[in-house]
Amino acid sequence: MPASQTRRTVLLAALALAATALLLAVLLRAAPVAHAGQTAANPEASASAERWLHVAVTPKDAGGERVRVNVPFSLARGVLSSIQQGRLDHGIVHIHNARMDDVDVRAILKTLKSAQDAEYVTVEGRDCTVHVRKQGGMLLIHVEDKSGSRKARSENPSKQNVDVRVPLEVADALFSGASDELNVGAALELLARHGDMELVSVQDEENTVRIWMDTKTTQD
Amino acid sequence: MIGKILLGMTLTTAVVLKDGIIEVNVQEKRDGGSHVHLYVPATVATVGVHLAPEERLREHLRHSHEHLAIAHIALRELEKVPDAVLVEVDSPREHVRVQTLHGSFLVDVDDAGETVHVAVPIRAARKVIEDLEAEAPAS
Repeated sequence: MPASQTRRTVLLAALALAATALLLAVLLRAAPVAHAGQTAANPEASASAERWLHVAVTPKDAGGERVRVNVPFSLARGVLSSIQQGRLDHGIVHIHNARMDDVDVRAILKTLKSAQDAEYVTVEGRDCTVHVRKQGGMLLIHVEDKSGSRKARSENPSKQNVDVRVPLEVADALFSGASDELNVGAALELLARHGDMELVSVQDEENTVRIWMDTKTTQD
Repeated sequence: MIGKILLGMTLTTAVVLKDGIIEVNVQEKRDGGSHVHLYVPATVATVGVHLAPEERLREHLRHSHEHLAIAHIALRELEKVPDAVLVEVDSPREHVRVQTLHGSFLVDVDDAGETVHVAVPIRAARKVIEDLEAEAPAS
């Protein structure tokens, strides 16, 4: 092979290699590869009809741990319905006794469904106050733990406020199975059909915990 | 020769485009710490399932049916939803973020010892799980 032809072949090979490298560099940027600095916030995504369950743990202390969890309902339902381990069996949690401290939750829910809006339970104890109310198809539970004020002299008082809002039909679905089980899958299914709402709020000395649902993928 | 190079280029491009790229980036923060940064075509992982020794693979998968099923469902659902940060933990000691972005599942960890970034195309991961499910013997 003449020297000029060899040089030409080598040159072409080098050009081809450079083109490959360039193409790969472009692909590596365009392919589904992410880089640490990128953020996933996509405002357009909020238009999706998919409902999302959000959990936020916000510490009151600057040195605390802030946690944000965003889970699409479809993912939660799908994963829940596929797990069969321990007491969890395809979306159903087996409990040994649905009667808690001699309170028949099913009987109370059945009565509440047909009852008018009102506060039905008020417990004012030394350490704890509990209010259970029905309002517009929602079951509202407010628990105020006052043990912190009694233990104010202790090094770690534990004052806590808990608010739970659950659509009655969701609570009903939760207890729709056998007496020794909670149908979490059915409850999630019904919950996903409801509009935006805050479900749980817990405030204590260290953290604020919120659980809510909406159609946004972010917590902003 | 040029034909071979062009063929190589085309195959490389096809392999990269088919399933995307798996990226692993680990940077230790201590002096002289190691830095590993890999880009691997996800096709390698999908093909790898078929190349692994069958007996050993089956042994490992013998009791993994349920976990594979859960992973399969999770990945299938993640493919359908828009990009989002799924989990984020922030503290003065560490930062962890798990998110989906442009069809990839990303995990970023930044703590006192190292920074880790892993990106796996969801579609390719689901394919691997599907292949593993097919290979797994009934338990």
